[in-house]
Amino acid sequence: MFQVLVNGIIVGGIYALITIGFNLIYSAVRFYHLAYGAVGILGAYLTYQIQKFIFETQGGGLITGFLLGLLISSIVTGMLGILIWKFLYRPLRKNGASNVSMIVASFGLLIILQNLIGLIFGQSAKTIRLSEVTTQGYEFLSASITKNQILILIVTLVSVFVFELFLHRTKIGTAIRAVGQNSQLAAVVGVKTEKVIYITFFIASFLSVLASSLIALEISLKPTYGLMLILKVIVASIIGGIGSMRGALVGGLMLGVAENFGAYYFGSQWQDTVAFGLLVIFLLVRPQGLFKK
Amino acid sequence: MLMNKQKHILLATMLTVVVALVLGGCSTKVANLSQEKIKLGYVGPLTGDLASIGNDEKRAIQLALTASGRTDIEVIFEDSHCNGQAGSNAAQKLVNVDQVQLIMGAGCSDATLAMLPIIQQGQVVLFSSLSTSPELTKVGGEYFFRNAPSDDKATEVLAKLIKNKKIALVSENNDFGQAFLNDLKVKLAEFDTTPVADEIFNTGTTDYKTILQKVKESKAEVLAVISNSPVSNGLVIKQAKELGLEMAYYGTDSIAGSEFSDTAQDAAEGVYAILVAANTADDRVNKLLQLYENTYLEGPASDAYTVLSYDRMNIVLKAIDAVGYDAEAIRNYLHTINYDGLAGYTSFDENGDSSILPLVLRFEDGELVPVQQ
Repeated sequence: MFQVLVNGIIVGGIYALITIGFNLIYSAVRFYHLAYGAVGILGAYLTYQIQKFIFETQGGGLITGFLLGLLISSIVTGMLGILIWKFLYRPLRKNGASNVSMIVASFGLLIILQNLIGLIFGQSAKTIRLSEVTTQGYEFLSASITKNQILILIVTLVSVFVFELFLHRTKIGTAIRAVGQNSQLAAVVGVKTEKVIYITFFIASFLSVLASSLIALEISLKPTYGLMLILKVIVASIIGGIGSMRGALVGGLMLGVAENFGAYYFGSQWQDTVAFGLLVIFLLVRPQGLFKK
Repeated sequence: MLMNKQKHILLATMLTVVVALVLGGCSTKVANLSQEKIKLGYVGPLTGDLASIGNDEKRAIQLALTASGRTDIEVIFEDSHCNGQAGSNAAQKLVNVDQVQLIMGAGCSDATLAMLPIIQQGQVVLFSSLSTSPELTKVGGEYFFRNAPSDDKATEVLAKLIKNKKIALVSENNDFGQAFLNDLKVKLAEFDTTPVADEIFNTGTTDYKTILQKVKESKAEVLAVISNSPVSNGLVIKQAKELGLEMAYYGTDSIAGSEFSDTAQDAAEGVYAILVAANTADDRVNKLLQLYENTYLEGPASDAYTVLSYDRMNIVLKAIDAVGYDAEAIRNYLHTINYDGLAGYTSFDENGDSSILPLVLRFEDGELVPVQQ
């Protein structure tokens, strides 16, 4: 039983981590950037490639390679995030596209990115590793938890804390929220809307690579993971309250725990039913999510 | 003036369409006599979760064609996305638009099953190197052939290996997984063996820890993973090791190839697999695998399916050489062959099932080696 709870928390941590960036973007532009999952996965592939290069040809260690790869690919993918806004969403916005059009466009981009990833890196699964041997996890109150999983949980908690502070305690964070609430009014009072959105896309895309690379430690990488992730992210973000950092954490954890208890009691084939059932319940009972006022 | 020009263009377009319709309406039999290329169809998972194996198949076909030196043959590649809908669409196009006489495919079994009505109606040969569902033995019909062994044979081998033990079954919720699971349970029942755990997961699941927790609680001695996704197999084995499950692991044919071992890495050690394998003791197999690597700068994801697809292309070429490009003649011819290929001797029974049998292999030092029985 305790193991099931631990499993749920680990998966929930993964969902939460990737939901943070998604919520951040939503805070600034108020639409669902569905390609977000695929952007993160693309970044994780870059991390994989750089790690492989350093480990195989430069004689570096797996961990050094991973950290260096993570740094480079996060920055590169952060830039890509800016380009996506500049060359896709911004022109659409300028032409007066509705939020529905934006979602459709972002879904199109998701599919394009998934296929590009397959084309560049191949369709077969890639695994990122921090050590060459698979070890049994630490025993903790009769539950088993691995180093990678502990790492994921720590990074998630720190990220939630940092971004919660960032959004509410810094000037740029306040600007992001202001742009999201009313971009025209924000511009009137002197907020540089464009710049704020660029920064948001950079940070969120940066974060998506961090999350996806950590996920790759657990579940490997496949070009199609972007879609799978974004579906979970949407559920987690609606449960928690879209746009909220605390909401991302709690939503992700709730989703992970519910899925795992669902799998335990009803069988794993009902895992998605439990997840989306939860989504429907929240949409009916508390559509604004847990943490949205 | 402009009006006139537009009229001309319109007239020319209409004429082209009419000519195309008239020519297209002529049967393929006529087309065969002319200098046109022979068009073969291929349907397989070229994108999606099993794309790596579809890719292997495609490349093996291209390698076999190149090796044969035949430039009069063209293969039209269509994507099955591993599902029935896409498979059926692809079959419609190949049979009705391209008017092929033979389709190599499909995979997965879901796609193959969905294609059957179309190829039966169009009287076109369907030749799969990837579909292993036992269902196809029953409903394949007279135009269906496969050199991939039916799972019926694999379940028989597996049941004999694990009978009378405490068995946990973890299977994928798709046509392949459930057909294999039910077949295996029937075979185990013949040995009075009932599994102690029977867990099903959806395609694309990445987190198996809770399923494995239930397996752990069942105190099973043997875990059989029934999935045609190499990644699912790899993740189950890896997460089982992380959870400290100590039992014997058995898997199906999807364990062959780099994708499984890349995912499971050192956790793959000692895992058993029931599969049709590329016999690396055969020099011709090694030559093919080497050629593959030299040509595409990476090894195949699955040696076994590369070999089967390579054999298939050669069998098809042999058939065309012997009896011409005609579905009925090829169908009759295939029932008579005993082809010495890279996967062994291939002949077909009345259901289109081949003589190729699955083997038991075990991971030792990262390589699958045959187990002496």
